[in-house]
Amino acid sequence: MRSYFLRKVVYLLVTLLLILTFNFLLFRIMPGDPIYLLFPKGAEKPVLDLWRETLGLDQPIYIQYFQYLIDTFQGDLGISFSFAKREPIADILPPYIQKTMFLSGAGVIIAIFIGIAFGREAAWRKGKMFDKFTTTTMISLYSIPTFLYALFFIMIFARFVPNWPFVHATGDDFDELSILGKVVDIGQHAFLPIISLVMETMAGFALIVRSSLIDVMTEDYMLTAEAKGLPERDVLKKHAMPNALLPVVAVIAFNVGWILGGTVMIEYIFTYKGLGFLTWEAVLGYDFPLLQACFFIETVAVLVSSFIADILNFYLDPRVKI
Amino acid sequence: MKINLKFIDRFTNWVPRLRMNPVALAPFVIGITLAIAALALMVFLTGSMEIPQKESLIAVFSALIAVMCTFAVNALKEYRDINRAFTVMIITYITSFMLALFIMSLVLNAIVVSGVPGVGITFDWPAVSLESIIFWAISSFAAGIIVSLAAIYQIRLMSKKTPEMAQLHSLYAMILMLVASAAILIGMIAWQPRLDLEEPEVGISGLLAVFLLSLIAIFSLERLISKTPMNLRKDSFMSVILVVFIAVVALIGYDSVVGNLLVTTSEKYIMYGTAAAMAVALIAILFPIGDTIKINRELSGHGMPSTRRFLINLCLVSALVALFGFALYDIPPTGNALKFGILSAAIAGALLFYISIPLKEVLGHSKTEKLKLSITSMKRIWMQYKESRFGLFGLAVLIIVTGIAIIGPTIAPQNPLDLREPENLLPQPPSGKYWFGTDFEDKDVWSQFLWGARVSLIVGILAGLLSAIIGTAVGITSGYFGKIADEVLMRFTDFFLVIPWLPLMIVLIAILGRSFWVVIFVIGIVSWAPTARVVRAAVLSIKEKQYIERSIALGAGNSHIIFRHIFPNVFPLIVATSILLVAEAIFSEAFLDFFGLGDPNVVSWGWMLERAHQESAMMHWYWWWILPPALGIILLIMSFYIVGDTLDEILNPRLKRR
Repeated sequence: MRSYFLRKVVYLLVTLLLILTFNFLLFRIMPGDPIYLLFPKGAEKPVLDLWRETLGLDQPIYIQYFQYLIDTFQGDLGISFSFAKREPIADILPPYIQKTMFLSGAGVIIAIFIGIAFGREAAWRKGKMFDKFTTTTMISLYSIPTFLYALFFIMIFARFVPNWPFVHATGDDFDELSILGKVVDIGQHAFLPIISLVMETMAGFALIVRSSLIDVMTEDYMLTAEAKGLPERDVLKKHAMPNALLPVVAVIAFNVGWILGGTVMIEYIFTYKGLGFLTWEAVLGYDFPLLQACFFIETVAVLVSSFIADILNFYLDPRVKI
Repeated sequence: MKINLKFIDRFTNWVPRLRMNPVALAPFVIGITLAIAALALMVFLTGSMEIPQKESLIAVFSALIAVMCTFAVNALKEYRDINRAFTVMIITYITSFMLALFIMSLVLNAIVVSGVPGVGITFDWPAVSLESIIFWAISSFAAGIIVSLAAIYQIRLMSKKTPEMAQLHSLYAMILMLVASAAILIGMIAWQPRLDLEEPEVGISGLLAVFLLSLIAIFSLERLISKTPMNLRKDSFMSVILVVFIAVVALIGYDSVVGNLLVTTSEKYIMYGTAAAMAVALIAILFPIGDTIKINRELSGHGMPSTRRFLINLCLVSALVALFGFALYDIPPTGNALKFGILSAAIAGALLFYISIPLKEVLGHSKTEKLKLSITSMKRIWMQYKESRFGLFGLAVLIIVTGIAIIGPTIAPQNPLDLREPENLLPQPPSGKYWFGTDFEDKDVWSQFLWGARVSLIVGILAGLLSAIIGTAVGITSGYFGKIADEVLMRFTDFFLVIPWLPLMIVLIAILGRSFWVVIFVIGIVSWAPTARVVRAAVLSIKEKQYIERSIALGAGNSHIIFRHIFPNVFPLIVATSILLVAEAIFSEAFLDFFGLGDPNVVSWGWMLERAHQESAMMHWYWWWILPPALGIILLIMSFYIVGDTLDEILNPRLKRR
């Protein structure tokens, strides 16, 4: 058991180091001086020299690398170039991270519940009308990219629901609202982003749960459970589902990167000021330090969640312990 | 165990040879000398001992490449078989070319940044002036000549048996290499040091051009030199690859011109360079085909009639013209190029069909049997495929979209990139004149829809192909060789599996610049990891089969086992997964375009959606503007999923759901 944990932790650290190195090299790999990535052409040479010194770009590359590692571990992610006052990125990020966590967290939880429900019922009625209908619908839903859902929902809501808020996470008069008003406001703003996010994810989960459950239902112990005379729903709930959900945990963990991608799309479309939107702003403003930081945070989030899934899998699945 | 011992054995064999053999040492010495010279030059130019970090990194890298070259050349001696030897040589020369390029670029980088002291020439940053281009031209030309001289020397050594032939070939090779160096020089102009962000796409496409041009040069060299009898299929396969290369090079040439690579006068040089490269490639294609046929005729005793030989050449030329036509497809405003292209493609296809009928004559009996076998297996797959109604639907959609992609821009009433006077200020709903209505600039949505299909399809297929190739290579390597290779490659694969794909694509495009090719490259390079996993698992199970053990016992080498036993066995799996990859690539492309990271001058469905989103068409219920591209994307993705799934069930029956 200890060796399992140890291996996982070592893998986590190695991948983290890989990501940091990757992130570092990514912005220094192009031919030419990296300073020109940051400044458009026409900047004065003294200004460039000053910034090169400030950013440490005049150092040898390995010193820059260690400096980068040390800075990152101390929580210093550099300085943003596009934000007016050249703030440290570590100060800018928290509210954005919060919003993204809210959006993707809520989306994933809803998607998991709906997806599992549909997948379970479809597998239980395998080959029947309901199963065929659900599977076809889910495959169709799964083939539609998340951002198209967002576009469709905006189109329909803009037409049929007057005054529905489409942009930003909160209304303009958010601070003046009562607590209940605030909750309603947040809910209203988050509603469309979340359901757009849920659609594709849910369909994916449903399909996975269905195929996993169908696999489990062919196992011998299912026949035993039925032969014991257990009620059918009990067989499903107590014997089939726990086993079927095991691979699903891993799949969900591996899909966190996918979901984050979906969040980027959603945030861009709804101007929902989370990490994805910040990424977009960084690209737009050629703000490479900010882009680097956003990418780093997103990668680490995915890494940590897959690590958690590993640990969870360890507790859920006794076979891993052997 | 076996593999390991062999490797060690080989390694110990190489070391003494390294000292003994001057030919083997040549690339190493050249590489090291160039690296040292470059560093010295840099010290001289910058006037200080502090060598810039990136440049020193590149120098070290070049030295490493040089060492690799040496080993590759040594490997030559391992092979008695001349074909294999040439394969290795090709690798050597690719690396040598790249080495020369790296060194030249870093020297130039230093010069552009600091000027040439003493001579009095200073270069303005960031523009690359004419002087620097001339310098670049001369130096790369010199590099090309050095490398080609080394090549010729080695070739002469190799073909000692017939001195006259060797001499003649060296002459041919010399001429070809000179032309190729000219082509490379043009490529290098395209790959100017990236000093500002305004022309970001130039970097990558120029690099690609250089790489492809060197490949073409190397292929042509190899084709001309090796007079050993080869089978026609292999040669025509090579030729097809070359034709594709040419198309790509043509596209890149066009891309560079459009990307404002160099202002006005210099554009001509790029045109000339592209033309030169194409001429080289043309020679490279036509010569070997003729030779092979001649050789085959001599061998079999009853060769091909000269008319058919003529037809083969004609067919290749028209295929070339066709590809030119396609390559030039989106140059406004004539549209004639495309019609011309389609016409010549049709002719080429018909001719190919004609000459392929009496295959037995050319291919010999056993090959014909093999071909028949593959045709029957295709038929069997189709019989099974027909059973699936879903699959047929997907295939139908796919065929329709492909049809639109091929003829769409020709039948489209308008060119979406044309500037025109708007008649209406607001988008118009569908009417008899505009089938799908118009957008904000009073442009026809139907025309845009027809144009968009092509890019979505091409990007999807190319990116899917790229990631399938990377995934297969990684999967087979790590599955077959195991041990450290497996461990390292799998950590790498895990890394790519875990990393959030969309942010990674966004970051890469932000760095590499926005262009058509960058989008393909980025999608391909981000999405290969799942394929690698699947292929590795399959290879692991195949490796345990007894026939592999038997062929090892019979003395088969690694490459024989991989290409003859493992690859054909995992191939169906790769086909099925890469079709799914294409679906995902289409999805990524659509979103990247929608996100504003695509090439702004390339019409695609994502591009249409981006424009609609910019004008907030969703808010105003302009459904005729949104639905066509959106539904197009959805249908295309869905059809690829369906076709991939259906094929998967037929080709890989073990994976069939219970």
